[in-house]
Amino acid sequence: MDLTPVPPLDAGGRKAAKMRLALGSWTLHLAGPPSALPAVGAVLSGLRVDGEAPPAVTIALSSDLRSATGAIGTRTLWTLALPPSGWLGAVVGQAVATLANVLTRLLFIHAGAVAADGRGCVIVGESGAGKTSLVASLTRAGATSMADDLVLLDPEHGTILPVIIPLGVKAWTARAAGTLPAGREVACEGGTRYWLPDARAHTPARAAAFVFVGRGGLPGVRPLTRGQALLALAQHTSSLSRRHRLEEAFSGFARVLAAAQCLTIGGRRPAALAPSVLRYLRAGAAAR
Amino acid sequence: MTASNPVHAPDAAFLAAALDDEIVLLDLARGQLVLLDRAAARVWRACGTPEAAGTRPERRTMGILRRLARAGAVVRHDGHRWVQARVRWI
Repeated sequence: MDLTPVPPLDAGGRKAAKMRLALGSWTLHLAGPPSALPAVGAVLSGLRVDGEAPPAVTIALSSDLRSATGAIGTRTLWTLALPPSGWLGAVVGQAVATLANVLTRLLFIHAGAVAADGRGCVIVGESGAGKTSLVASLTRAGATSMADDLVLLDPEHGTILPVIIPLGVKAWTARAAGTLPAGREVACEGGTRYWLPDARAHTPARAAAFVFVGRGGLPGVRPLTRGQALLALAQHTSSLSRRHRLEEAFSGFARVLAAAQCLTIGGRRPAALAPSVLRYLRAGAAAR
Repeated sequence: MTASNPVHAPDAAFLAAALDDEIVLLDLARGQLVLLDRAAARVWRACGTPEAAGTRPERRTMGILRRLARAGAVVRHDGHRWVQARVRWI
């Protein structure tokens, strides 16, 4: 991670800096105010892409942190207005979404993931459903953290690739998760703590389970058919949402799900069900 | 950033994946998934077979066939015979 000051961007005399993040086979160039880039770098520097080489992307933050642009070479991909509070989350989310869009072989899901006993578990749910608190609780209970926000799947090998982005712990996430797993805070902005757990996966794990976190419903862990799971995946942001990748995403997800256990969990506090989810995962490992 | 490349499927209307006793169809034109549960999958698989051609569907089967037809997964041929839409298995 290099931080290099460059000439001023604006008439106000505020200087910009550049940073290059080598994230496995993906390179992300960042440009923006020196006060902001270390936080972006700290949150994204653990991300690692293996298995394909997406094109390098440049994300430039304006000197007043009110907007950001993403580009591949000279082609602008997007321009984003940033909120005064929560800009870091917006930039990280956009960087992750950009990566998801430039992938050609790997599949992505907006989800979290953990691994236990060599079995990877993808945790899918809407924003605010309790994915992060469940990942935190599972990690505290003995699993290793594989991903928060973006899960990358290798459909050829049926594996989850570790995408280490710190857990974005908002106030309600902290309340739902209770104690966070052992780790350290790498950044804090807009009321979100970016928490990097110590127990992190460094190698791919077999995609052995998919857990769908619902909102409300009866508390508990219940089996879901694989067909229902594929349908549920299509309701969330994933490669299935990208029209140009629909066929390969359908085939890839169907292949991965065919070898996975699928569960749904209900109730108002998914994190409280972490021990049950772990029991399911470990029972599956013992049965193999 | 959006992607809007059309899906080209000159040879099939659906992609099909069998997952346990269920079948999931991907409607290539609409970009939608259709889940056939165990009963619907059985009816759908039987469409177009000689056994099905020679019999008049019972009431429950007829209901399933109508639902499958609404999803485009079967079509009525010659006014009485139900046949599967063109599919490509993965």
